[in-house]
Parts: sequence; structure tokens; C-alpha cells
Amino acid sequence: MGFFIASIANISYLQEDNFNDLEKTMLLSSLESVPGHTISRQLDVVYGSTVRSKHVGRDLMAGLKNIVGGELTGYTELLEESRQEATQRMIDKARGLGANAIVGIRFSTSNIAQGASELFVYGTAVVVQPVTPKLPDPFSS
Amino acid sequence: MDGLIFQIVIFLILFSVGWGFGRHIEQKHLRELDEKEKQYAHIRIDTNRFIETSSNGQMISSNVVISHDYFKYVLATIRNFFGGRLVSYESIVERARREAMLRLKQEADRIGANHIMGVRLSTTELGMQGGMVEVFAYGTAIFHQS
Repeated sequence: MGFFIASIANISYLQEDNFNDLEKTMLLSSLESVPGHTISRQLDVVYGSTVRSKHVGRDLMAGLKNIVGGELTGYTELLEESRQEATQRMIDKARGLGANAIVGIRFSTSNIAQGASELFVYGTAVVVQPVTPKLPDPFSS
Repeated sequence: MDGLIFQIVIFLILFSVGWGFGRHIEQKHLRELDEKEKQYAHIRIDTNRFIETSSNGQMISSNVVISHDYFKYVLATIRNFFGGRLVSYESIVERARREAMLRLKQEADRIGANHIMGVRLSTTELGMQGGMVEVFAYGTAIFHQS
């Protein structure tokens, strides 16, 4: 029962995700700067978070896998989806500030209750400009 | 009395299944890791955050959740009593880290980058009896012009 409802919830979430494919316009970087760009304005710290719980179907599979060991693909996917959602929330906030990039992104995860975990992501919203590549000077040398 | 025997039988079955399958899965995984690490060895990877480049970049991430098997769980429980190194769990964490790094490299390869900078790893324990560990790796892939 829980498995079916959760799968339906998952499908609708995935379909919704396809529509807002705006992530491409926001530059993300885990470095102190965006490669190939210079920071022209520092805005503010932005963050996004989501709290997810496991669902019954996956929990059953995980219980079985706990005996033989190995990778839990269901949880790997669940956590990846949740992080994408947290990142999307962070991007929405940065867009609200008028930023076109987020630098110094960090992720953190915490167990807040039995079976539920919080995925948290934060970074600094900035405005960047692309560096124009220096053309070799034809008159020198 | 019957109940006790039944419990012992269940325990022994789980213990041997965990030992057999756990070892098989672990060795298979380690072989796969060795093979794929060679395949993706051309991708450079570092933790430097401050390098300035003129190439473009993109943030990439990867994660993996690996669980223990029953055999390791029993070993760790016994070991917990005496203290010391939990060798059986060290191998799980190491496998998870290598797998996460490998997936990060695969992701970089998929988008056509050959250098990953500013890599960070984070490890989380996921509830239950503490047997599931998640490793999340993220970094910035750089497209070097060549």
C-alpha cells in the first residue's frame, strides 16, 4: 500500500521536475569562484533544505539487503532526488535576489528523526561575468 | 526451549547467508572498482578551491548508499564490547568512498570534462541499526580547452 502511494507520489514529483528546467541558466560552483568567470557583485548567503523519509517498500528491501550487504539503489536514488530538490530551492532563492551564479556550495546531511533525514545545501549568491579570452597580440613577439 | 532453538537456527542461517553473500558481493564490488578506476584514471581530481582558470565549469555530484551484511553486523557487535578497530566496517566505508569518487569521475566523463576541482566528501549514517552508510561526493568539473 505504502509502496504504491509512494511510487505515484514519486512519479508526479518527477514529471513536475521536468517542467522547470531552469537550472541551466544558474551557474553552480563548489569552488570560491566560477571557473571562466569573474565575480562582479557578492549578494547574500542562500540555502535550501528538504526533509525526506523513507517509504515502506524501500524499507522492506533495505531490511533484506541488510542481511546480504551491498548497495541500496532505492536509497541512493531517494537521496539524489532530495538533494536536487534542495538545490532547486536554493536556486529559486538566488534567482529572487537577482544572482546568476552560486559559489562555494556546501552540502550537509543530518538525521533529525528515526527514518527521516534532512538534506541541506548552502552557498553564496553572486553576479558573475564571463572572462573574455585574451587574444594573442599579433604585433608583439 | 523450542523457541530458543528456533531463534538459534534463524541466527545461524542469517549468519551464514550474511557471510556467504556478503563476501561474494564485497569481492565482486572490489574487482569492479579496480577495473573501473583504471578506466577513468585519465580524469584528474583535486581538492583545491582557489585555482583560477579561464575554462568553463559545472558542478557535479554523486552519491552511494551501502549497507552492511549480517556477518559484519555480528562481528561489529562483538567487537563493540571490547573496543578497538572495527575492521569489518572500515571496508564498507572504504568501498562506499571509492564508489562515490568513481561515479563522480563517470559523471565528469559523461559531460566531457577531464578535471574535477574542489572535491568534498561527506559521510552520513542512515538510521536503522547503523548499518547503512551514505557517501556523497561533489565537485566542480572543468572543461579544459585542448
